[in-house]
Parts: sequence; C-alpha cells; structure tokens
Amino acid sequence: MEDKYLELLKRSNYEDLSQAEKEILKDLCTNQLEFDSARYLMIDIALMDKTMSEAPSKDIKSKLDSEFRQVHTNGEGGGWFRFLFPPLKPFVLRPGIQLAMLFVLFLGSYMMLEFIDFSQQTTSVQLAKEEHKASEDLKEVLLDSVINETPVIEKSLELDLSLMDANTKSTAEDGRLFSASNGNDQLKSNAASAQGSLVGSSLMSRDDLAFKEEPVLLGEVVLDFEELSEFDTDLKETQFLIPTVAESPDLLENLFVTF
Amino acid sequence: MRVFKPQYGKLPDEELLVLMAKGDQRAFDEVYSRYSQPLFGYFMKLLARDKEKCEDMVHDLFAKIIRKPDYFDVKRSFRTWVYSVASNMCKNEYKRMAVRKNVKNDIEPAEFIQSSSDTLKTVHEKSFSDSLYHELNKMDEKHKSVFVLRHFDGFSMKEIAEALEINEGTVKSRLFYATKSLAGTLKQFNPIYQ
Repeated sequence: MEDKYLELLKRSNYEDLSQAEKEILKDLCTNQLEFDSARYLMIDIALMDKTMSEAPSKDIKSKLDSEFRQVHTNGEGGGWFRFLFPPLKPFVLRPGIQLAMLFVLFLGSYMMLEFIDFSQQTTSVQLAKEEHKASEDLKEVLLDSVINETPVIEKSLELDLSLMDANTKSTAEDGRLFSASNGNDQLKSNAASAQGSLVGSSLMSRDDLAFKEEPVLLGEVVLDFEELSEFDTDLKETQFLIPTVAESPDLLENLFVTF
Repeated sequence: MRVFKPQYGKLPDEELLVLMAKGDQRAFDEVYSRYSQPLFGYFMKLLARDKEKCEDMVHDLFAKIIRKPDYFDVKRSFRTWVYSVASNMCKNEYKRMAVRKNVKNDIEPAEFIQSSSDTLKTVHEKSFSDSLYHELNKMDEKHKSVFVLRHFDGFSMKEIAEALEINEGTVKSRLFYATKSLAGTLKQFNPIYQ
C-alpha cells in the first residue's frame, strides 16, 4: 500500500489512472509530462542500482579487526564483570543485578527481624523497670502513711508489702504487665482497713489471700503460689483461721440430715 | 549453552550483535559483510562521493558498535538503528562542512565541484548516475536521506520513519518532493526529451 506510487509509475499513461490513483500521485505529478519524468527516473534508478558495487577498502576491515581484538582481549581481565553485567541484555536480566537484588532482599529481611527482636526486648525490659519503680514508690508512700500506727497494723502492713513484693517479682520475672495503679488501690484499701480494727484487718488479709490463692491467669503467666504459702504460716500465728474438721469434729454436727 | 557453532549467515542481525558483544569475531565478520557495503554506499551518496571520508565514516560507525554495543537498543531493528546512526553522522558532517565552508570561503569542496562541473559540461557523455549524485548533493539533506534510503537501500516508509525518527507522513511528503525535484532536473535522461 505504502509503495503503491511505484506501482502506479510503472503504468505508461497518466490519463489511464483512476481519480483515486491520481489522488495518490498528486504530490508527485499532476500531468503526463511530470508523470513521465518520475517514471523514467524510477526506471533509471532501478537499472543503476544493479550495477553499483561500492565497498570500503580492506584496510578498514583489518583496522576494525584489530580494534575488535583489542577491546575483547582487554575484556578478558574483566571476564567476571562481563559475565555479571553482559551488554545488550535487559537491565533486570543481568546476573549481577539479580544477585544484588537477592542480597538486598536477604539483608533487608535479616535487618527487619533483628530490629523487631531488639525492640521487643527493649520494651519488656523498660516495662519491668517501670513496674519496679512504681512499686518502690508505692512502698515508700505506704511506709510513710503507716509509720505511726500500732504493731498489729504494722504486722498487717508487712503482710501486704510482702504480698506486693511477691506480685511485683512474679510480674517482672515473667514479663507480665501488671498495673501499678491497681496495686496502689489495693494497698491503700488494705492500709485503711488496718487502721479500722484488728478483726477488720485480719479479715481483709484473709480476703486477699483467698483471692491470691485462686490460679490467676493473665496472658500466659501463672502466679507462683509458693511464696504465698509463706503467708499462710504467718496467718496461723494470728489465730483467726477457721479450725479444720480433724481438729474439731463437732463442726460437722449440723451438716448431716437424718431421715 | 550451544552445543554446535551457530550458522552465522542465518542468524538475525540482533542475535549477531549479542554474540559480537560477547567477543565473537565471526559474528562481527558477518555483521560487517552484511552492512559495510550498503553503509558505504549510503555515505557516498550523502557525502559528495568523498571516498576517504566515507571510509572513515564506515570505520567510525563500526568502531562505535565494537566499543559501545550497549548503544544498540535490543528492542529496535538493527538495520534501522544502524542507518539512524549513519544518518546522524552525516548530519554532523554537514554541520562540520558548513563551519569549514564559512571559515574557508575561497576553498570549495574540490572533488565534488570538479566532477559536477564536468558533468554540467558534458551532460550527454556522463552517465545518469553521475548526474543523479550531483543532483542529490545539491539537495537538502533531509530530502536526500529519505530518497537514498528508499531507492538505494530499499527501506520501507515505516523503516525510514524509524531510522530518521520522523513520522510516515513526513517521509512520504519528503520522498515525493525529492522525486519530483530529481525528475525535473534529470529530465534530459527522459527519452521524450532526447
């Protein structure tokens, strides 16, 4: 289609061309004379083209050959470089680029994992420190507030403080987040009850222990009750525990129904 | 990996270029045998038939291919690419010649003027080709390159457009202009006028 004008120029008579064909040639010729001139030019060029045999001298080839050898002999030293970055290959398909991308991928993932572990460690250590500091502050506050109370109350407070220590220790060891404010409230209420009466104080302690003796599960951490058993021995000394059935069998008297 | 040596004569230009970039001498020989003559002819037609200069141009062009094979865009056809490089080299040469002409007004491109004056004197004794080259050299470079690529190197309109980085409509209009101009100036070879 694009070379249709050459086909049309092979015709002998301009007037034989259709209107559409003349339209194609309108930029080239508009009458028989111009048509003939173009036609003979094409014929002469076609004839001339066949006889042409121009070629550069052989010196050019020999020069280029030596240049080629020089370039590629020098390239032998950088054989690995040529292997990794061969010319005429799309950028992403060059082995060197692919290896570099792989390295970056591995390095990136390694760094990312390292960063995550590090940050987690830092966070847990910081939390433990903060908890410890808060508990220390609370201890001080509590000691200040009860310093002038009776020995019974002091005893009760000692129990509470040791309880708090147990909680704090277990929390720090297991990496568990324990709310300092909760501990604070509990200790404050215990201190207040200790100030009220001896019975009230002892009952409060028993309530706390009853709560603590239940298995407390926060996250994946179970509280260690070995330390709490020490408080049981302390509590025996207060003589406010309910006697066991073995000690006083008369406790069972009213529990049996007779028919 | 190839077990057998490739048949270089049957390989496409682009594949030969890849082998050549790897240092395959035979691939280079094949590329040279395919393109040295047409490119030399192209330079001869565009550069006033100055043989030495045209040989230098061919040398420079192949040296570029040897030294910087990366310049070739593998997505393109090598044929159109190498002619586009040749065309740009001609443009640069025209600029250089124009500068030289301005500097040395008294000195004309001797060989060409000599041959053209001979042609003008003895128009019937000279061959059609001499007159054609003469007329081509008088022609504007942009029309000349389109005409040469189409009628001497056998490029299609699309290939010319790709090689010269212009659109096909422009190629067509330039080609018709060049044909009309040459047909007008070379009408003495038309049997009607003889």
